[in-house]
This record gives sequence, structure tokens and C-alpha cells, in this order.
Amino acid sequence: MSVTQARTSDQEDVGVPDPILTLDHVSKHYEVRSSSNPFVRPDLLRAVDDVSLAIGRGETFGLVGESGSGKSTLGRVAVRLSTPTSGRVEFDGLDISHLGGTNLRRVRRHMQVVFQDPLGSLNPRMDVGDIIGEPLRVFDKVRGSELDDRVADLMRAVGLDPSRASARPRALSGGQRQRVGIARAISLNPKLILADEAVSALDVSVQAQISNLLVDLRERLGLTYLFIAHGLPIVRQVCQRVGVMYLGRLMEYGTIDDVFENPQHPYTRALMAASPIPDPTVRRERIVLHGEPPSPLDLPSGCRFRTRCPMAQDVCVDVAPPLVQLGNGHAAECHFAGQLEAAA
Amino acid sequence: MAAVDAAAFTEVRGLRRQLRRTGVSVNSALLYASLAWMAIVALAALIPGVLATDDPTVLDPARALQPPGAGTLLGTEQYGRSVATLLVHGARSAMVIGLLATTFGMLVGSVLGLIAGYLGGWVDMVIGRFIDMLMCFPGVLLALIIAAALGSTTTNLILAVGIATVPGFARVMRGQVLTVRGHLYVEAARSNGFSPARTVFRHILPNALAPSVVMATVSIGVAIVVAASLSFLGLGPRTEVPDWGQLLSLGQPYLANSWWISTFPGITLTLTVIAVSLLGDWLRDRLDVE
Amino acid sequence: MTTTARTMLALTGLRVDVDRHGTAIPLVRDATLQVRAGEIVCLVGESGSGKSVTARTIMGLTQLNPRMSVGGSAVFDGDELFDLSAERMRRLRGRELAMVFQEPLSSLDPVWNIDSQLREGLRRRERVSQKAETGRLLEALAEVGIHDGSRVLRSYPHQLSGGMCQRVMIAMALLARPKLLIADEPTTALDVTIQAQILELIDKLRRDEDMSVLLVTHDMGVAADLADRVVVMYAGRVVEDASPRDAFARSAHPYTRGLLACIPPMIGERPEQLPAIPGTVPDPSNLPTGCSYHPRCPRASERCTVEDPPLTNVAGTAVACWRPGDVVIGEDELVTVRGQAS
Repeated sequence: MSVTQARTSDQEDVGVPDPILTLDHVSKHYEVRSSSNPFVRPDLLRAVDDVSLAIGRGETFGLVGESGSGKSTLGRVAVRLSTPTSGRVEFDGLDISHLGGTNLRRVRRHMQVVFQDPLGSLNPRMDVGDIIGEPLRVFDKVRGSELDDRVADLMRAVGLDPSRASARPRALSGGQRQRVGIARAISLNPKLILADEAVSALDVSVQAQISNLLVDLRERLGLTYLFIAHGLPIVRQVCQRVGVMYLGRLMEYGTIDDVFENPQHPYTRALMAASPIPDPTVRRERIVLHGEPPSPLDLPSGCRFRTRCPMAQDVCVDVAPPLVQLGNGHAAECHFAGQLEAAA
Repeated sequence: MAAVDAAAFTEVRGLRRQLRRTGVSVNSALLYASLAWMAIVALAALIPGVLATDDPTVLDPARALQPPGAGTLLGTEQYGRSVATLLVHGARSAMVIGLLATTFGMLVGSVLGLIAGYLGGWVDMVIGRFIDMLMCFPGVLLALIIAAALGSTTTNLILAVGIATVPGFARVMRGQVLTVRGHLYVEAARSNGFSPARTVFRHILPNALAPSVVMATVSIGVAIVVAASLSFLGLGPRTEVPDWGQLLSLGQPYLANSWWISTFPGITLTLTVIAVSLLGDWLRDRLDVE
Repeated sequence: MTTTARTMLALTGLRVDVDRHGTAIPLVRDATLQVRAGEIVCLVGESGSGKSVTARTIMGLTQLNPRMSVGGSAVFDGDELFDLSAERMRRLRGRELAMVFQEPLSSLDPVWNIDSQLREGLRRRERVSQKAETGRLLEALAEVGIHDGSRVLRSYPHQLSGGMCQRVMIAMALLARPKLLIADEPTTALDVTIQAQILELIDKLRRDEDMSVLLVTHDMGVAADLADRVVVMYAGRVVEDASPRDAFARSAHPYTRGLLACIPPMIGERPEQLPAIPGTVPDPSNLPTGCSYHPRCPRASERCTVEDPPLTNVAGTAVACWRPGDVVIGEDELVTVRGQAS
């Protein structure tokens, strides 16, 4: 979004001019019992550790990272499917960090979720029309032929044939199921949609259809997306800004152009280098990162990427890296941020 | 290679399931036999007069202890009543107790299981302990204790047998709720902002119900047997017409000479329980419960 | 590409049908491909294309299901696989033919530790002393990049990460020193940085051991990275079989082009909308007439709707299309779908 790009770089926080969602030093920790001995203190799993970010109205913010990076946990905390251990979640000016019961349910209609597994997220005993119409029936008390009309409109909006309203989810293809999930999510005109790996499980040709649909709906309905994915190309295609997570921390964020063309965190570079490119003439060094991520229960000192980082120095062991602001809302949490050469 | 063998193993298992589903003719013959038997039992329970024309309350010492065959189909008992007639007239009591006790057990057990599974935490623990306590006693013994404590009326017999089936239903429902609660569509309902009641009754319960329904069919058979056992022990309702359990015990002193009095009620009970559980198996396959 | 090398595997007109309530439903209709010694052939396609069924049929796994019937021919190193006895086939698997599956964790038996699972595999091939066995296991693990082998051997599958399990699976396959490794989406469940490691490993084994690999994948990027030959399947048929250069830069089949076009670019201009292929993969029980791609094809003509094109060889590329293209993908050729019905 142009508003985001236009902001000046001297601001210290991640602020955007008109944020719809602000995460302020948000953490989500879980206690994990690794031993059956009740006297052994449970380990602390820092799924999300002190993350701050803001998402502007109307933009699509991509969150990428590998499994265990905490991106899904952060998404769940952002729409309050999960309560933050500490920190503040602000939605449309309202602190929703510890909202509960009816108050929370009232906010929920403004922030909906599209899940990764389209079949699993649809109740197998309801038909498509019931699934899409349920939020309208419950919240807006829409009934009868008006409900049928609204459901038909929603189905057309997501590219489904309204005559399929009586079909069960099982009878649909993967792409159609995801369209049902999207229709349900937009039925109440939400402000924010969390797309949690919403296109990751789909075949490429269907993935293209669905991501086109998401972009289309954003423009038509003025939606904001928090778009979680593990594939970089799709994030580059649908998002305006992106954040890269590793072991519970936001390592780098900025506009798509800044992060993809001039990544300033070695992990971002590694992710990009490992992402396969469908062009056999490009011969690259295949392995960019050795080994596996360390256990989230036993995080490395200093920088948590240092155990796999090709650039790690002594300072990375001792000192947690600062968040270095690089201008235009681009920032990276690395001792060497700003010193890496621009990618080709 | 272990993986290949593992794959082969799954294939074979798939095949077995396939065979089960496509239905070999022996199975369908048994199914139809079960259906026919239950139809007869149901008819006997609803309008016994169709199957047995003589009055089961009329005693005729002159016809006492006649063997099967001559005059009466299944012989007579010590008061001269036809065993066949008594079996027909006892069907109602068996079915009423079987159905009502199971309904009671299923309702109470499922509600407990639903609450425990959905709320979790200390509620789950309290309900769990209570269920464990009930489960410490074998079903018959539990029903016996309750029936003895409450006194012998039909209602109390239903309660006693019903309570004995509560733990099973509670456990099955709790397990199902725990599974279904983890499904994404329940999370989707939550993220839609639906109330807990809607989430439970619209999204969890319908998807968690199938195993309980299957269990209920089996439970009807069990309830009939338990009720008959209690009657046999004299804890059943005092009625003019003996039910199957009472008939069993009526024949007990005459077992050496007049075997038919106890044997035919025993066979009737067995056939009914087998038929009900075969129907349960069929239902399980239909509902695709694993 | 080693065109002169001998043919390790040749599939000709492979057909796999599944019986559904008395009707035969074709999962694979006409799969023809070759894998030469030391070559990596990537079998690409979307779900429902029949690529995994093809792989499993070569291993003799689909045939274990009595509802499946297999036709055509699969010649492995001179032997017709479909004529082999069950016993010979069983001996072939895990020795000369090995397979790695998509889900590494569920392909390993959860109740045995890695040591006993690997040892079992090794013992099927040869008997050596216990100590020599352990040495061989550690060697195999080191070969797949596991350097703390003795710890891994003691572990149970659930104690290892997905990438680690996949390495163990590959090590298990390698203990047999197979001539042909069939890998069914071996990296799909893994993170990209781990995927890169596994792909490098497969490539290295091909180089060092002269092993042939049939790699099943849905990811055109993986195919571009590894393949000596790219075979594209659609609705149970091979529609294109080409060298990577031809397949990616001069795709002959409109489906291959469509697949490539809908992958978002990592560099350069971002299109407003991706040129998606309209519609979905057809259900095998309800295939369109003629060429099964024609309802989604921007180049479809009258003929395509009635007659199924045969796989024809043109200048080193085999293609099943009445109107194959030979120009570089132009955006104008592809329909841009804006959230259209699938």
C-alpha cells in the first residue's frame, strides 16, 4: 500500500499511518512437560517471543517462516484464537489482548479466518449453503429467501455456482472447498482476514486461482489480510509487506520490494536461495543452510539464528542483535543488517 | 524395506475393510434374519394378541408341566400356562426396559461425556472420577445394588439398568468430543464468533454422535439381559404375567424334568441379544464408525 | 544427459484401473517413459494426475489391492516386472528397487527404533557380523548427512524431525544399493532449507553411485533443479516428455505452459493477477471426451474435443497434443482468470 511505503524512516516503531491491527511486544509461551516427573519444572516453549508489528488498513501483510517459526501461533494470537502470554493486541483501536466471552465474540465478526485445510475447516454434516449462511443467520438474523439470496451472492462473489448450495463439502474439489471457506469468511463484511496457509495445500493451478480471488476481494471489499505462508513466491505475489519469522522472532520485515530485492537478514537470504525456481538454466548453490533449526525449548544464546548462520561471529553468541531500521519501514534483527550487499 | 512392508500391510487392511463393506452374502443373510427376529419381538411387544391367542393370566393346573409338542408349542409351566404365550407377553416388558434403560443411560452418559469433553479441566476430572467409581462395579452388580436399594418396580428397574450403562456412554462421548473438538471446523466456528452453545450443538454434537448411536443398539441387548438377570433374582417388578427373567427362574426348580420352562426363555434372550448386536454392527458400517 | 546409458526402467502404455462398484475407473491411462542408468527423471503433475499411482505400480504396490488392475508393460533392467512372481518381486523391492515416500514419519514404524529398522533392511540383503552391520548402518547414515549416527540409531521415529526421518528413509533405501530409487514427493512435507539438503543428497547419490531416480513431484521448481528429463502427467496420461530446457523454455503442451505460468515469479515485475488455468483437474470417473485437457485449454480446437491425441515424438520431445506450441510462453496466450468458477 502506498501509505505504508510513504512513511518516513525516522520512526522507531513499526507504526503504519492507519493500522487496523497492532501487535505490541507480543509473546506466546507454552509450558511443555518433557518428563512425567511432576517435580521437574516444565520447559518453556517460546512459540512467539516479543514480536511487534502493525498492519495497515487495506494492505496484505505476509508472514513467512519454516515450521516451528511461530508464524501460525502469531496469527492465532492476532485474531485472538489464542491469548497472548504478554504484550498487547490492538484491533481497530481496541485493546483485545484479554477480551473474553461476549465482548470477544462481538469483535470476531470483524476478523475472520481462512484455514489451510479447506475440507477440515468445513463441518461435514452441513451443506455449502448452510456453512456460508450460518454467520449471517446467527449474527444478522437473516432468514428465508433473503438468506438464500445473500448466500447466492456470496457464492457468486467467490466464483462458485449458486446451484451447488446443497452440495456437501466432500463432493467439492479442493479449490471449491477453499472458495466456500472464503465465502464464509467474507459473509459478515469483516475488516481483517487471517489467511493461515490458505493456499499452501492447493495445486499450483488452483493456488493461482485462489490467490487471484483473494487479491480481487481485497480490492472490491477493502479487506486487510494477514497472509501466512511458507512459500515465498506466493507471498511476493499477493502481499505488499512481509515479515520473516524464525524460532518465534520476527527477523526482518519491510515492503515486498525492499525485502525481496535487498534482504538484510542472512536467514531471509537463505530462505530465498532455497526456494526452488522453475528455470533449469539457473544453477545455484543448492545448500544454503546446514543442519536443522535448534529445539525451541533450548534456544541458542545471543542470536537464535547463529547456529545455522553462514555469517555468525563471536558477537552473535554473546549479544542478542538489535532491530536495525533501514528506512522505508524496512528493518532486520541482525548485527550485520545494512551491511549486506543488495541481492542480484 | 520396512516402508514397503508397511504399505503392503495397509493395503491388506484396506482389502479386509473392503470385503466387510461390500458385504458377503452370509452377512446379509444374518442381517435379514436379525431384522426378521426383531420384527417378531416388536410385534409381540406391541400387540401380543396376534401371536398368542390364549390369556396368560389364566391358570390351569390340569395342564401343568406339559412337554413341547402336543397341544402347546413350547410346553407349559407349573401353573399350566403356555411357555410360548408367556414369552410373547413378556416381550413388552423386555423391550420397554431395554429401550428406556438405554435411552436413560445414553442421555445421562452422553451429557456427562459432552460436558467433560468440552469443558475439560476440573469438571472433566470430577466427572471422570464419578464415572470411574461407577465403573468399579460390574454392570450387573451395579444394577443389582441400585435395584435392591430402590425397591422392585418397573421404573426402578429401568433406572437401575440405565445407570449401569451410563459409564460406557459417558466415556465414548467424551472421547468423541475430544476428537471432534480438535477439528478445524470447530475452530472455524469459534473464529466466526459463534456462541459456545451453538458450537457444541451445531458443530460438535452431530459429528460426535455416531459411535454412541451404535453403542446404544448393543446396549439395548445388554439392558435386556441385565433386566432379565435382576428379574431372575427376584428384583424385578411383581407382575401378574412373568417377564423373561422371571420365567427363567420359574423353571429353575423343574430344570431336571421340565427343561423347557427355562430353556426357551434363555434361547429367546440369546437370540434377541445376538440380533440386536448384529444390527448394531450393520449400523456401525453404515455410519462408518471406526 | 547420458542418452547412451542403458535403460533402467521402461514403462510402455501403463494402465491402472480401479474397480468402483463394477465400473473400471482409469487412474493411469497411458504412461510411457524411460529412466536411463544414472538419470533423474522427474514425473510432474497436479493431484489426480496419476503420477503417484504410476510410481507405486512400478513398486508392485497398487497391485496388492484386488480392486486395482494393471495393464501395459514395465521393464526394469531387462525384466518385465508385471510377469515376475510375487516372491521375485518382493525380493526385488528393497534390493534393486527402493522407494521413499512423502510422509517420512508415517513411513517408519513407530514401535521400533531406527537401529532395528535399518538392520532389518540390511539383513534382507546380506548377512554379516553384528559389528560389521553396525558399521554399515553408521556409514549409510553418514552418507545421508547424519553424523551423530549412534544417537540416531537409538532414537525412535517420533524423536526425530521430519527431515531427519526422510534422511533415515533414504539411508534405508541406500543400504540396499538399489539400481532405481523411486521417490514419491520426498520433500513435500519438509521446509525449503531442509528440502534443499535432501535434493542435494539425491543428486549426489546419483552422481556417486550411478543410481537412477524417478522423482515424483508437483513442484516445477524441484524438477527444474534436478531433472535430466521432465515427464508431465495430466489426468492419467503422459502429455509431455522433454529435456528440462525444452520443457521449461519451449513447452510443447499447453498444460505444461499453463502450469509454469501460474507459478508467481521471484524476480521482476509482479503481474496484477496470475495467469491461472481455469477449471480443475477432471475426475477420473468422468473424463472429458477427446483430449482430457481441452475444457481448460486456451488452444483447444474442434478436433481436441473428439479425438485424444497420441504421444508423438518431435525432435526429442514427446507430446500428446494436436496443436503443440513451440513458442516461448506469451502472456497473451493464457487466459487470466479472475476468481472464476472452478
